[in-house]
Amino acid sequence: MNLFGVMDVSASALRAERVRAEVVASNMANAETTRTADGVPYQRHHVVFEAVGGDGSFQQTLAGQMSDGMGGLESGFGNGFSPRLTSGLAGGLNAGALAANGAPGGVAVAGVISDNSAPLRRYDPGNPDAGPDGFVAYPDINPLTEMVDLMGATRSYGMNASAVQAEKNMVTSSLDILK
Amino acid sequence: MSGFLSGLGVIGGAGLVDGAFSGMSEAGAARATETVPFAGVLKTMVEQTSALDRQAAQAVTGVLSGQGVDIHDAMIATQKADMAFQLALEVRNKAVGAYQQMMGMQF
Amino acid sequence: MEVTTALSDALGRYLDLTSEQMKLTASNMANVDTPGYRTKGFDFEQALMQQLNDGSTADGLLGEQTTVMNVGGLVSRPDGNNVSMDREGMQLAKEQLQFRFGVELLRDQYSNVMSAIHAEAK
Repeated sequence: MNLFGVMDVSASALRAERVRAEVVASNMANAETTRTADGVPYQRHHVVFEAVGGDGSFQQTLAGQMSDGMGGLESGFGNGFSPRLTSGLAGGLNAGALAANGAPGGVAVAGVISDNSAPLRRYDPGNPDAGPDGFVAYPDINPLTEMVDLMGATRSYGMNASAVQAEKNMVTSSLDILK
Repeated sequence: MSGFLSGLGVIGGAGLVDGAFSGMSEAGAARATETVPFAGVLKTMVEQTSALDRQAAQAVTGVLSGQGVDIHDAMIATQKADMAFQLALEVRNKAVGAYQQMMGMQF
Repeated sequence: MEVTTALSDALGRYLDLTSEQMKLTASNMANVDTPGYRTKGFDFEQALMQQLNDGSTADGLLGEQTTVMNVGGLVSRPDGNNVSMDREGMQLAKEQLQFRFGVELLRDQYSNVMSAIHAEAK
């Protein structure tokens, strides 16, 4: 798409993997949270990725981004700028329904979904959050699952960072043609 | 660069050397390409060099403005234009040197 | 007397804009922990097109300021800061390569002109 189109693809992957790692960290931090601001136990979140396709001419991508609508707190033009609702990390990451960064051939976070599985119930009548039957509802977060997810995110992040290094080397050696 | 070659043409047109270096003036070029292949070769070299140069400038501008030109394409096009230019320059140098040698001959 | 080509002027502006971009990236990276700081950027391609079409100032200096705006599409942390180290690191790498690209081509352009000036018949 531009001078470094291939690097933008890797950049989108790095961003997406970082979001995934942050969601895992949020899940692990809130594994014992029985009451959130809504009054219900913490719901486990997970991210959904989607491939962002397109044959990536600059005009096409720009036109696509501008027609996506400007209903966001910030908007901009060009590479990696897109309309998106932003919210704090504690409330979960809501990426909206837009193809977030538009890099052709890259990956974008399609959404952060709440897991609707039933909460874990433990009997603890002394707990202030206990229901009338004495059971407290805990989020159903398995630390092993989260750790494996985190390892996957770390490994993908490392691979994409190596891809960026390789791409940088390729561009540098093509600059050496003129020497 | 075409300045050097038109200088050559002026000297040729003065009739000092018959046909060998009649260079780049219009009528002279037409006559020369028929009688002497060398001046025609030089002329086509100049034209090809400026065509390659234009192509290279186009490729580089494409890279700068973010259209889809790959960087290695721009580098290769620039290198080709450079090599063509160096070649034309060397040929011109040899031609001028040979002319000067001939002018220095005593009869 | 014309000693520069149109391409070398364009490359000069390209290098100007790249160094502007690098300054913004450095500022964003420095402010990664500042509460309430929003990532700043500008549209490189648009600014370059504008400068190339403007064309008249042949001295190659950055005649006007580029329009700096807040970058969209970034997630804010609870303190209001939305700087993404991934994005800034990537921008830095790109800008370094862009700068090197511009310098190599500019050097090549000038060396062509110089070899034409210094050419001597042997």
